[in-house]
Amino acid sequence: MPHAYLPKRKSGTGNRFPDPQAAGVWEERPTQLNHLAEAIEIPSEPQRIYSIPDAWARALLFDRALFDENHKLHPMVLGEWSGLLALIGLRERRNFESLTVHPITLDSSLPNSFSAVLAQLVPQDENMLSPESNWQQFYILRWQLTPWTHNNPRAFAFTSPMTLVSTGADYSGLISSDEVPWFDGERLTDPADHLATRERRALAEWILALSRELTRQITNTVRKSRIVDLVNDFAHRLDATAKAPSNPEDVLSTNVYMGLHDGIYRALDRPLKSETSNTSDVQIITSKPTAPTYYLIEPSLSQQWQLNAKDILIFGDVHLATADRYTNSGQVQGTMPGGQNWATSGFFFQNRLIYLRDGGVAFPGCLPVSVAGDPKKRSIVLPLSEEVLKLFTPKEIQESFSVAWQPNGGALCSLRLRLKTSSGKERTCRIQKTYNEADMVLVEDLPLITIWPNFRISTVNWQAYYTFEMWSSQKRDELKVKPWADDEREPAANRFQNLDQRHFEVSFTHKYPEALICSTPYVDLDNHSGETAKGLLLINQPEVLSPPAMTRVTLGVDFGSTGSGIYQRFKGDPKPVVFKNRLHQITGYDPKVFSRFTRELFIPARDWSADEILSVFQDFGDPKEGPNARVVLRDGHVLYTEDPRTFISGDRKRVKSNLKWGDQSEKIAARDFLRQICLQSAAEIAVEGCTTADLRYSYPTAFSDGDIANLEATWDRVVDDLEKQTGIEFRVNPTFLDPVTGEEKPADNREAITATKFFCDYAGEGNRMDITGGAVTVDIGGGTTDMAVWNRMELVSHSSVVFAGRDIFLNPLRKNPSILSEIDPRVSHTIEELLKTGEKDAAYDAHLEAIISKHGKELIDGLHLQESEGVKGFLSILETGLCGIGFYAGLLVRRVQTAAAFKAGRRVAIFAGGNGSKIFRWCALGRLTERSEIHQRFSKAFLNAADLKNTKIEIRLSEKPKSEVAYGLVCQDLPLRVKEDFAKPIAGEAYMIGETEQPWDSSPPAEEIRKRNVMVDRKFPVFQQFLEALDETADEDLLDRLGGQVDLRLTMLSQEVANAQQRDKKKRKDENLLRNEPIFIIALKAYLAMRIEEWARRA
Amino acid sequence: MSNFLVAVGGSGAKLMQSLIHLGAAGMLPDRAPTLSALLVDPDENNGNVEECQNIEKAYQACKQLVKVGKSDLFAAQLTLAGPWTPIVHHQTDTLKEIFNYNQLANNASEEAELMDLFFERGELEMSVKQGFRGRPAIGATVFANSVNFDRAEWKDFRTAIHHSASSAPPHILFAGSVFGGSGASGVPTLVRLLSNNLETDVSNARYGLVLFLPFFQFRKVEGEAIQADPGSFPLATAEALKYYNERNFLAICHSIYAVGEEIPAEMTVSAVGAKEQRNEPHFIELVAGMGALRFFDADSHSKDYSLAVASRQEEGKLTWDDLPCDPQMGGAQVHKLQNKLQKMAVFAVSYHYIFYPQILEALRAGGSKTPWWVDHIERKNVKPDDSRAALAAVDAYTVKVLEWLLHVSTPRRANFSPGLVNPNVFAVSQGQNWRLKLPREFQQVDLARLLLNRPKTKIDDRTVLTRAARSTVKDDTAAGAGRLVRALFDSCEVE
Repeated sequence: MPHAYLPKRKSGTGNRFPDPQAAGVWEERPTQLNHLAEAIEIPSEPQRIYSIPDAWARALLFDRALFDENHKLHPMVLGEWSGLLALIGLRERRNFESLTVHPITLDSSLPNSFSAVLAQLVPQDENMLSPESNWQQFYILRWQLTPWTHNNPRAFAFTSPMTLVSTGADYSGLISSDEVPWFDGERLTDPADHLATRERRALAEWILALSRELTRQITNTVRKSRIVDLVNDFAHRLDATAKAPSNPEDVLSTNVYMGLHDGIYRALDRPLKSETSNTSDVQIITSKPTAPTYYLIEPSLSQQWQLNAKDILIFGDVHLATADRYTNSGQVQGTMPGGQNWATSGFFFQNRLIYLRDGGVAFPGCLPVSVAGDPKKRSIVLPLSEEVLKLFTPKEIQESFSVAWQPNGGALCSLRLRLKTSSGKERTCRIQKTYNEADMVLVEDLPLITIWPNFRISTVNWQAYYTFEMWSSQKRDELKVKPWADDEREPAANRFQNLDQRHFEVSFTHKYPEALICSTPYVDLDNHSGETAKGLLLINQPEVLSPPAMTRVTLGVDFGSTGSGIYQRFKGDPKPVVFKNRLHQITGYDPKVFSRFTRELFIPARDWSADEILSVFQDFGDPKEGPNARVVLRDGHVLYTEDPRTFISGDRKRVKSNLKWGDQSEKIAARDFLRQICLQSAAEIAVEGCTTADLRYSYPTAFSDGDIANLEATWDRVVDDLEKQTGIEFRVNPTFLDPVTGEEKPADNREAITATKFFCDYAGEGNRMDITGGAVTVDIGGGTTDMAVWNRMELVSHSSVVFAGRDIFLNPLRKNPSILSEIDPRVSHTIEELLKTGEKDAAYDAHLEAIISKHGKELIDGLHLQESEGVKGFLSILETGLCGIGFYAGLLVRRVQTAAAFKAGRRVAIFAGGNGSKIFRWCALGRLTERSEIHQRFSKAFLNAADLKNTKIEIRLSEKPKSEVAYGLVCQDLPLRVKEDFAKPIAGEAYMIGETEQPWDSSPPAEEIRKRNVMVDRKFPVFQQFLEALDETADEDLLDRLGGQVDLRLTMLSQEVANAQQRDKKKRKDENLLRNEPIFIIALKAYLAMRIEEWARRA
Repeated sequence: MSNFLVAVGGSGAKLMQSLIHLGAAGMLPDRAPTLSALLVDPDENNGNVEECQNIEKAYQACKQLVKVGKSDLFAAQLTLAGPWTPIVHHQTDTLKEIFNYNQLANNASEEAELMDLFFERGELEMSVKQGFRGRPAIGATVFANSVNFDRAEWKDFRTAIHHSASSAPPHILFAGSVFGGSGASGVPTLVRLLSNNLETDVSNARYGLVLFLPFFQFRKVEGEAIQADPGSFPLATAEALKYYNERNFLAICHSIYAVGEEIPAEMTVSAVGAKEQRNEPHFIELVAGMGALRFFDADSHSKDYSLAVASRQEEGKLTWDDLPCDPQMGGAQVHKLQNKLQKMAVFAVSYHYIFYPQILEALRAGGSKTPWWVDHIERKNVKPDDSRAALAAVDAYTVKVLEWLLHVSTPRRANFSPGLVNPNVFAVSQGQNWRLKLPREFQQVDLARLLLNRPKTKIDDRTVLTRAARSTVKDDTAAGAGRLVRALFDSCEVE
């Protein structure tokens, strides 16, 4: 059998080239060159082909491999051809802005140029697709990688008169695989597997439109039928059921033109038009109208829905099978070219699971989630990202989240999502993450977390919520929380405090927190790095209250020197506001510990009557932005007294007690003090349905004009904040209709007047005050005593002096607090605590006030058993003080009586109120009667001063000491007339202005004081009268010492006047520039001080 | 009528080697025993090209020094030009450098983009100085860019064609491999470009192709990134043949001779170019040479525009009857043609191993008693010293013939038996390799075993020596030492 001089050829039907039959002769095969080519046996392994000896090799090879199904490279080249057509077709739909075309005209005259080579060797094949297109003119296709600023467009393909389009020889890396998933990094491939069903259908229709156009454009050639067949086959591969659009305009873009203007390439000039509506099968459904739209990329969805991944559309043209273009980067969420958001399960789940070993209920204030399996007494923080909160309500999260504890200790966390499909229907999907032991972070010490107030309300726009967190251990970062609310305008205004190793943080939010974003540190053992685990606690929010509308409420605020009170009235009698326990406890904590810490550092976890508030404030200091940026409750809080021993927590210097009379720092504290108690009051009236309220506050007559101006400014700020935070509209000190005249009159909230209103209105044990026959009210507060003289429902005189309980009662106690232990040994331990502090600062005073407030009654009860000189001396001092007040009140009466403005009857009732009125009980050893020595001595002093004979004094003590002013502010308006004829202060003692003697019932002008023209009459004619009334004598030495003290004080007042005038824009020179501190009172204070000194020395 | 050969690349050069020997044996057409060849190779130092030039030099030395008269011996009028290299600038090395790619790319030129589209990045940076390494598209580009028919070797070659065309149609044969680099790219490119160029003034040219399909293989060369991959030869061949078909080369070329081998020979030298690329002759080059002879003699015999293929009787053997001839030739003609090559074989062995040792002895001794020395040197008053160079030239050439015959008979492949000549007569094998015997190793009696598969007259040393002793040269055109050579050649007649 002859053997051909030829390489190995195929056997069988693959070889149509017969061997030469005769050896030793040349056989002619005129038409079998191609048969010989096809007969060559080619190893099966895929190979690149470089054997076309032509500069046009790439185009020729592409042509050959495309049309020859048996060609080794046919599958690859067909894929490239299809992929290239898809690239053009989807130019608009996929926003392939990187794809451009550029026309080429070969120039054979260009020396030493590649285009000249191409022109020399240009294939002269008459069997082109169309005579109007040849190789002399064609287009190149370019792709520009992003970022465009760093990359130039690069040619990667060209149009071909033989195959319509062709790819270049080597375009690896020139196209973005992210944007074109059917580009495998080296070459384009058949796009069918990378396109979603809808997109395949659309592209198939475009391809069929292309086929129709080619059929129309190209005259009948063999090549035409082959290219049209290929085009149709491609469309069929994309979607076997697709049909050519009856109107090509239905699929052709009207916005994007490729720039293929010439020849047969016109058929490719208009890509597929974009979808008019963006569709997806995985749009995450949320009930939140403002939630961002996310499209879920979850590989398990294919299995969950029993669908091919290609048939689950993510968005636009990206389906689940090609979504790795987004997720390949390792990111869990991002933005698609159209601006839509995509997310994987990693977007929802955290990397670590925070848990507690606590067997109890770790988070009683949170929404419980479904738990399966044995949690081994573990509680968890939901390992969900903060972003989840933007998509779902806590309730939705609660219902969709579950954890299944695995036998190996792992936790399988699931989140069920509702997805909107392209058909408009809803389907559910479950995304999961398993946390093994190594993925869990233990919180060893559960912090205390609570939220105030614990209500949401529809009737007002309440916008003040405080989240308090306190760590019991040094690991203060454990489970740090950040409150989160959906429409919170800005991040929570949080502030961390480190107070005597108490680590706590208060965050302010305008909305009730829906969740707490938790973070806790841990050490990543793999990387040996400190990391932070995060998670969510879903707050079990209170139901929204919709209380019935409430008629106008009146709040009365008595801001006292040592104590303050708030009364309210809407129906019936005034009552003290009761601050209910409105703490929402988030973490499980021992109730006692919880109660203690919240009271010491935040707000008490129990009901609190607003007539039991000491004017004490714990100031945590200004935030870095300054005092104007202070946030109530965050930067300090009212110190509520319960047990004086634990009254003050932390740095004592932060305790402010002289709020009413103090300097700048105290003024700031006073403002925040008022803000808090008003805010708490507002909470109470809000839940009752109040939307508007009257707010009245009082001030002592003793206030200077400057004091009043300051107070008003403070209140303006307080009320302004209050309205913003609570949504309640407040009318401050509104006018009232005079019940007598029917006229609308401005409010008169001077404490002397409001106290009288109390005595007139309150039907307590001592009956209502009858002032028809003349009466005197004495409201002895902590800092001032307000006195009023009434005659037949007419206020004929009143005054306020800066002399009250603090001067009479607290001053001796400050000197010698141990006297209280002497009175009642049961308070000795408390006194010891007090004495430990050493420094007699504001905290000391507050502490002392707290002791009296807490143990006052017990001490009074123990007085009758005490016979010691110390106790006697102490009570004697108290008597002198009270009598001094009585004497000065008597001077007021004398003045109006002398002026015939008052005529005393046979009985003059003196109603004593205020916290200081309790001193009467001290002096009376518990119960004040007419037989009590203090009653007699006080009466004598009063009558002596008033110059009344045959008049009996009847002292009635208030049943609600300290509540009088607050009560009087809100009680019904009484038919009282107020005359100002004798409202001016009196000196109460003779004095000199220069060389001129001045009577006791005048008052030295401020200007004269400033000039130091005022001197007391060293004979003290009035004060001596007072001493005589006390059966005491005044020797020259005493008077001389008193004179020195009074003149010293007048000198000091001179400077104060100067300062006040400096501040006063009107540059007034009247007496109101100063607080009312009559000369008699100055002398009385000096006298009492000497007595205290002596007493203390003896003790 | 003149014959022209454009021998491209290593395979083209090797065909030319065969044609020199066939021409030396008087096998070129009697009416036109001329052949003008132009070697074309991007690597002017290619070993195959160099060997071709060496053989041609040896042949031309004989032609110049030895006047053998009207004989088949050294009958061919051969000219060999080249090698012409398309690498114009010796400094340029890659396509990028040739076309100033970097500068074009920096200027965002379309030219650079076109190159990007039509070549791989590695190809653009591949050195082309030593060939095109299985990348004929690169070669085609380089050839097309550099060939200029009005310059250098091409101008002479074209002029010769033009001149010959006036008397008879010039036969222009292009030869090269289809699976390699230089030949694969140069042959079709030059065919198209030259035919286009000649179209205006040489309308009667006949074009032919000898396409070497795979017949050998070699190992990959270490350290070379881009090189011809023997594994890709079959696919490359198929693609190239398709290309010739698709580009309609049979409309240009009257004949395309395709030759190859099913079992490739293993080449001993593996190099991508330069002198290291010197491949041993292969019998397929002899077969291709037979095709070339037929093309040159084709006026009256071959059909126009055909692919020509041939076969042998046995796969593992090549006999004299397997050398393909025109089917129109009668048996006598075929035998006559075969006899010419057989005679050359006998002459080469006889001259190198029997006669030339004696000639050397006569030259050394100042004379010899052998009749052929006495009759053709001494009696003709030929000065021995004047003959020394001519006789040595003949010996040198016969060595070339013997080497060629040896390798043609011993292809580096398994299961192959010599069928033309017995290599054991004049060569010894050393493992896989063969070498020519030293004269002292040669056994005169073995001459009888030289020609294989010759059923007729047996040629042995006695016959040759006897004929030599009795030979007379009645050709006045033979002169000098040529007369002796002619006499000895005539003594080797095989019929």
